Amino acid sequence: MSVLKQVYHDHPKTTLFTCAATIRILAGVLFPALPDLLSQRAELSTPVDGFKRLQEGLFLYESGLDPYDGGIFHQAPLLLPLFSLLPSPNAWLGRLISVLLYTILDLATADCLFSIASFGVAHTSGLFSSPRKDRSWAPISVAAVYLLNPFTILTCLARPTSVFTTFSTVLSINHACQAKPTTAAFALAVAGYASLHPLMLVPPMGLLCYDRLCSQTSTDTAEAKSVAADHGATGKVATNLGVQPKAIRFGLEFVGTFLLATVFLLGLSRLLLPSWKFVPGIYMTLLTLPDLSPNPGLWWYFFTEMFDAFREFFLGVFWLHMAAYSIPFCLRFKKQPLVAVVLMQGVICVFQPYPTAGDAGAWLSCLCLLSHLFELSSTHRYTFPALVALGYASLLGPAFHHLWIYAGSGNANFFYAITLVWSLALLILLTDTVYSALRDEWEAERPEGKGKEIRQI
Amino acid sequence: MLLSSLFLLPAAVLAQTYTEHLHLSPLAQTSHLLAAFNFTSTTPLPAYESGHFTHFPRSLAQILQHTKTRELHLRFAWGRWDDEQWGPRPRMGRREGGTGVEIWAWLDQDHGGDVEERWSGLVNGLSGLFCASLNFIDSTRTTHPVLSFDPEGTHADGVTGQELLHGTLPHEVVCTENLTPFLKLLPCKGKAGISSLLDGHKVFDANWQTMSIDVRPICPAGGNGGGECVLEIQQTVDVVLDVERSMRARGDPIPRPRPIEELECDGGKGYGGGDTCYPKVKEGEMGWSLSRIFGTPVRGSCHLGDGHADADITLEVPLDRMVNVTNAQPLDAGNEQGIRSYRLPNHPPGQYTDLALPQQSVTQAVVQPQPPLYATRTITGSGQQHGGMHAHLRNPHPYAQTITYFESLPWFLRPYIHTLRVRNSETHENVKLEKMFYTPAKDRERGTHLELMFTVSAGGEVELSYDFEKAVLRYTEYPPDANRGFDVAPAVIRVLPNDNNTGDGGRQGSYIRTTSLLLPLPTPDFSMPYNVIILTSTVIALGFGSIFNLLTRRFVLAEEVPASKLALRVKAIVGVAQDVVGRLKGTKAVEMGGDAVGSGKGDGMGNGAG
Repeated sequence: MSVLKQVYHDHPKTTLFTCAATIRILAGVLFPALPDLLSQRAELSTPVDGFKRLQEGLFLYESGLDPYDGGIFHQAPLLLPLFSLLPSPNAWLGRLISVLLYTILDLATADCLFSIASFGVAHTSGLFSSPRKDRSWAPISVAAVYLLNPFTILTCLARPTSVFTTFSTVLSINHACQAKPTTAAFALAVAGYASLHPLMLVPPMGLLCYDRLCSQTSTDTAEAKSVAADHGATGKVATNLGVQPKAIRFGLEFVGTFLLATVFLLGLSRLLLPSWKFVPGIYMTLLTLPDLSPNPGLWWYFFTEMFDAFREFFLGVFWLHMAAYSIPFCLRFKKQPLVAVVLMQGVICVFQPYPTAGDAGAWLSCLCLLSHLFELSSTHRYTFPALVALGYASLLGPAFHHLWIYAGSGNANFFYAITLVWSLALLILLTDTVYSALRDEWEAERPEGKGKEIRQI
Repeated sequence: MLLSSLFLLPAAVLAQTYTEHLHLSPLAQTSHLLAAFNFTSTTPLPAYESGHFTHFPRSLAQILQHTKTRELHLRFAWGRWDDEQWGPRPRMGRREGGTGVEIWAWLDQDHGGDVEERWSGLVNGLSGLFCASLNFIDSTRTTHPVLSFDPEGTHADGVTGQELLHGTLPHEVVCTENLTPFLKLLPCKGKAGISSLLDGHKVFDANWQTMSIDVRPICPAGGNGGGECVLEIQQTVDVVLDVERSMRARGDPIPRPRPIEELECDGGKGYGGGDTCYPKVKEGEMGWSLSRIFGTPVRGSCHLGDGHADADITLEVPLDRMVNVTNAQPLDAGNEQGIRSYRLPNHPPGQYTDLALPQQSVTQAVVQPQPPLYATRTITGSGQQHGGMHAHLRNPHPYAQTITYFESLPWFLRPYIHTLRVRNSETHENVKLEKMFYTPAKDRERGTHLELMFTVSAGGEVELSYDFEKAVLRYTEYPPDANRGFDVAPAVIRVLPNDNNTGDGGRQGSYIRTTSLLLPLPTPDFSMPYNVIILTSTVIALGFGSIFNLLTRRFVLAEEVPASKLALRVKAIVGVAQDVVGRLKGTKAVEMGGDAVGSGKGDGMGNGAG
């Protein structure tokens, strides 16, 4: 036992990653039917990321047909050559290899989260330093929340391709934290190419990257200053303003890189496929929601029951509503750009047209990056009820889905009600985080306000 | 079988002809009778193109000319053909349709206008003509088969420049309103000749019935100089009637228990107590007659004076069976196949003809031939989200047969073709697919078209299966009886001709159609649109409102908030009210103190009452 403790103490990350990989692979080996069962669950895979649909697209691709000339396959074309390299997942070996691939993706995502957490970007940015920075969790805990989260583990076994989007998004945050705008924009372009909505992350991600770039240059300048001071020189040192990158220029570069990368990815996809049909095949599906398969989101039942005359109007409203958060978050959280990114991820996770429980799992793990705020949200807000409601919805959701689809003793309203509870719980968590981030910022200015009752005006 | 050879009678060389023919054959070992009506008329192509119609129905011709249709096949069918008991299908299945309505046609491609548009015109025109919902055959129910159908007519330049379109409507209930316009196309309009037997009550009381209309151009063999090309319209009605049920008295169409005196009881059962009736096993063949089965004898004849002397009615019963003929001229007392043929009298027109076969025990056993293939198709799986299709084909013959398998699926059934398995059900080895055509469905735009070609080995059984997913539709897309499920069109199986079964099969081969399937889809709650819109919007508004409320306002300490005037005023009012209440209480307390005896009394009374 003490040896184990010692091992954990010495190599916590290796131990955690080994454990997480073992859990996933063992589940795949011990319960060979589990991955296929999970990949058909409505909560874990949707029409735009389901593994079985990927197989169908792969089959059409390999038989020389256009996989997008049909209503089944709506996933990114570049996944096709990747998966055609793997053996067919109908046999046990192929299934295991696909689980292995997703395990590696999960580990890579966790590694990114680990490194983001170790930068401490959440509580210390170029313009702001949180009074609660000592309360944030150890990076290993954030990685552990991602890797040992039941939603993530089930998603890994269900193998939806939204995991690729999650990975690229987190990778993009990681690169933005390292002040590497090109790679951050490229990773975000990969995510946006695979599923449209990461486009809305461009402003907060650019802000984060810019903030890191500024703080890096200011550190450099500070070092230069100290070096100059050491030398006793009194000559002029370049001012911060002169060294700092121009915001507009940076923004244009970031967006330009993003667009170039997107065009590159789309062009590459066109080379693989016989026609441009994949563009409407992927993106129009997300925009117009032709496939109303049940999922934990808010869209499917709303548009099942929508009057035909108002369908287009409400599709526009839903998309505009989702996009409406991006800029306000950037403006309000310009001192805490990582908060803006994580909050925008939360908005996407709740309001996207085809969400899965895996998206929620990934977002909850990203939320742990803001762990220094948990004290505030738990004392002043409704975090506990929200978490309980989340647990309640995740237990009752599959049960009500079963009652509707299989047992026939409940109707669609049962499952719909649970998706409402689920979305509401996530929304409350999101609102709480907004509150605590704002309050944290306010308390940095007004330390006397700590723990007191406050009002909003 | 006679029917198949009749079907291949060389096209009439005479330009304008009309023939009609009824074939009757009891189906072996069952009390069912197959009645196959056939009405064929031809018109020379030049006359057709210039609008001169003698026997060819003008209403149909105008639709065909307008839509540039070269060849048309239209089917209305209902019921299930029982392969196990009834043997091979009449006319080798070529004049048979899947349950509901089925239509396929070759349309000219190069005559301006979109082919799809003219196809839509064709189905809409036929919809009006036949009082059927053919207009619901839109792009989602139309496919372009490649292997399963070949043109039956002679087309000078083959079918290049023509497009084959195929539509199905498995939900359509075929009934009297389709039969009446069908009969109206005939020269005698169902008033005389064998068509006078066709009565909706009897035709649609059948166990299985199919009506077909086939229009095709026929040119005599030997090139252009051999003779004039003609356009032939063939109308057929095939029904399988339950002899006993059809002969039930017409005056009492309601099925009710027979009075005890009419029951034929078997008194020989030793264990019968005398108060029970054990049905008597019928001996020999059941007696029947045309007039009792169809409710009326044949009225007159429909000989249009074109010089034909062909048989109007043929009867396929064992030769030792007695037949009483009224008013018809026997042409053939029975050839080696046991087929007797009769011709209706030309004059006088008002005469009635009848055939009657008395009950008789027949020694000669009838051997039922085997159908080319046995085929069943079912939906597997439980629940309303996923399912599977499973088809089972059995070749009863000692030779291998190559078949094509054609499915046209609605878009809301989403097949996973990567799970398609075609394998021998005994050895579980995969059967090699010789050809495969697959057009995936597109939501609300087109249905799935799946066509396979493979060989079923001698005496072999093949299983075909794939998984599919059931879509959730918009609530306006469900029919009023949403929980009944949706109909899936039958699979069409074509047994291609080979050395062993060509005989009279020609180049078409024979066709088998499976039964249509019922697909249950998940249904939303149809009473909920307003509630759903309100509830979902509330959740969204809750998120939007609270987030933007936080984003747009700033924090201050509670004690720093300047009290508003209204709050001060309210506070003042509350203060005054409290003062008043306090004062009242004070006085009350004083009063109570002074009147303690009375209150004690009250308490005592209360306790007593309790």
